Amino acid sequence: MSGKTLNALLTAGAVVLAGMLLAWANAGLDNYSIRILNLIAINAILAVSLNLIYGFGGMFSLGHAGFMAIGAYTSALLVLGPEQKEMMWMLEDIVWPLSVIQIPFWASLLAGGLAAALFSLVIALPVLRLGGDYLGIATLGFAEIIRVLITNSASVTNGSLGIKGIPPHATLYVNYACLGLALYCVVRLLSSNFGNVIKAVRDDEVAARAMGIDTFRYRVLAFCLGAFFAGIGGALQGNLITTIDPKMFNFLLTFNILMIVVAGGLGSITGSVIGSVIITFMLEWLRFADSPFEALGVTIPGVPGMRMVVFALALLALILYRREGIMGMHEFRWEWLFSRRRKKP
Amino acid sequence: MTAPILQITDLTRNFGGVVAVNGFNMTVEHGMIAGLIGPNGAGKTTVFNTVSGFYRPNAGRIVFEGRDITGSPAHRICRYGIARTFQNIRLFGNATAVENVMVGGHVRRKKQWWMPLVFWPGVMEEERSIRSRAEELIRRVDLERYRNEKAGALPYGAQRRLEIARALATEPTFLLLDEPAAGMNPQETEELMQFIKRLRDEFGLTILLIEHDMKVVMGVCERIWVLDYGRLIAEGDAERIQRDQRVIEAYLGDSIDAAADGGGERAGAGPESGTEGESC
Repeated sequence: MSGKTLNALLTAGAVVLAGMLLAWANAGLDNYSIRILNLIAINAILAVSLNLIYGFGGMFSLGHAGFMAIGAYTSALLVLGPEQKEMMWMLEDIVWPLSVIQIPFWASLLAGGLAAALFSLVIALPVLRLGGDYLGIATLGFAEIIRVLITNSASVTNGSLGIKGIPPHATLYVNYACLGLALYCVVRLLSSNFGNVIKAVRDDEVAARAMGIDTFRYRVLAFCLGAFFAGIGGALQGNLITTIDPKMFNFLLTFNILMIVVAGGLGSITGSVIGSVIITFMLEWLRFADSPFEALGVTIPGVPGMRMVVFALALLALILYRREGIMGMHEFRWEWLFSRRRKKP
Repeated sequence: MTAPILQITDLTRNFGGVVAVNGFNMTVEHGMIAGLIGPNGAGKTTVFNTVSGFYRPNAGRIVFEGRDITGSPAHRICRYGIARTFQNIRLFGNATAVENVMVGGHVRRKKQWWMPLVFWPGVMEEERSIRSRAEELIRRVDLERYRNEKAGALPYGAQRRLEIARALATEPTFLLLDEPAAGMNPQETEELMQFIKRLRDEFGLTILLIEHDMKVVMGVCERIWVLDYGRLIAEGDAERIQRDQRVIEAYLGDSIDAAADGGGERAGAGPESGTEGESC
């Protein structure tokens, strides 16, 4: 029991420390660094949500960009004021209820998550009967359908013009608070017996059914929960860059998140967080490769896209030498930190 | 002891043109240890899969504790009180022994999945009781030293016992064991026989088992049903089955190699090997 209280205290301490670090970063860092920190938080939310679906639920889903698009659009449409919307919708006039509604930012975030979850429920019912690669293809198709729908329903979404001037509500604090909440929810659920059950469904569906588990229901549940957090992640991203358009939510976005999840470790929340830190940071840091630089005495001319080559090589190395990702299926534990510390002296 | 716990009437199940089970009848009384035997491919596992809800019967009725469960999905049948193990062990290999058993306990929970998020009253108590019940079952099947080991890394005999513990966690009244002695040496088989009897007495279970090892079948089963080519060819206690001419013919037949079936070989051929089938 004392071990548990100690862990709770340590976690509380870590949260306070993280808050202090954020306050320091917010005051002392330049805009570019803060932007990277923001992206890390949002990517971590997205990676954790995909991990819930793919890593823990065992459902190979490539629909994340679609869920993000729904979240981002729902939030943007609800948070903007009526005058702004009237001005921006040039192709067609905006439809009635949306033209007058304006709700607070936090409520729009929640609405974005719920809209994504609702949509995921609609596609889960037919699609989750599929398994493996087929599910991947079906969800990928649905994400594309969402994109096309958004492009073509100009009276709701302003079509291909996108939405601009979204108020920049997604500050450093907001993003990390959302990450904290998402982590709390996911970790708490997975450490309850629900976590054992969802992993059981992933590992052996037949045995899980014999144990009285309605496996389809649990798969739908995990899928919708993942979509919910993906919707919130998308909403945050829209509020961070203040402009969204349908082209943003293409397959590449899903691919980036999938990369974080696989690199971090399928079935590890810690891995997803670490993965999003490393990969978000690396994608920025590697920008030097796009400009001319000197390596081993050879001058390499600036080739645009060079950083993606370097990045792909790094990923290749990771997959070759550590296929299970950075964390495998393990999670961070305080005991784990301290038993190591004890061994050192 | 009034009404039978399980009553199967005229059960038929086809796979394409193959009739795996043909007009099978069976009545199991409360508290009995019953055996279902027959040569490879006789349709024993198909009977199991139909009773446990993995296959939908083509014809016939299955009544469990007075309730018609014909065609109910597997997870609901488990909730009614029928638990099973698998011929080819199906544990959750990545999870620890205790976690495996906790999954079994999940079916009896009363709280909803989201309740832990908001510390709903009673939800933590329920989580703790699922865990402590799992630990208790682990102790009772004598797996304490493996409790935090990955289930996939356990020795074979331990995996068999863990699978039974997991089934017991669903709080069944009726337990289906599919070849519990497969792959065990004589010493382990002897222990298993004691274990099965103990299970029935301590948990107040009714047990139906499929087994190729005749020592086990004759040693523990109070009543035995014999299947051959999907048909019931004999029914009765051990003594009667051993003397039954049709049973002897089914096992020995006119070719000598069929006799090997009696020696505890793991089954393979025929429609009954489709344990992982999901045709329902």
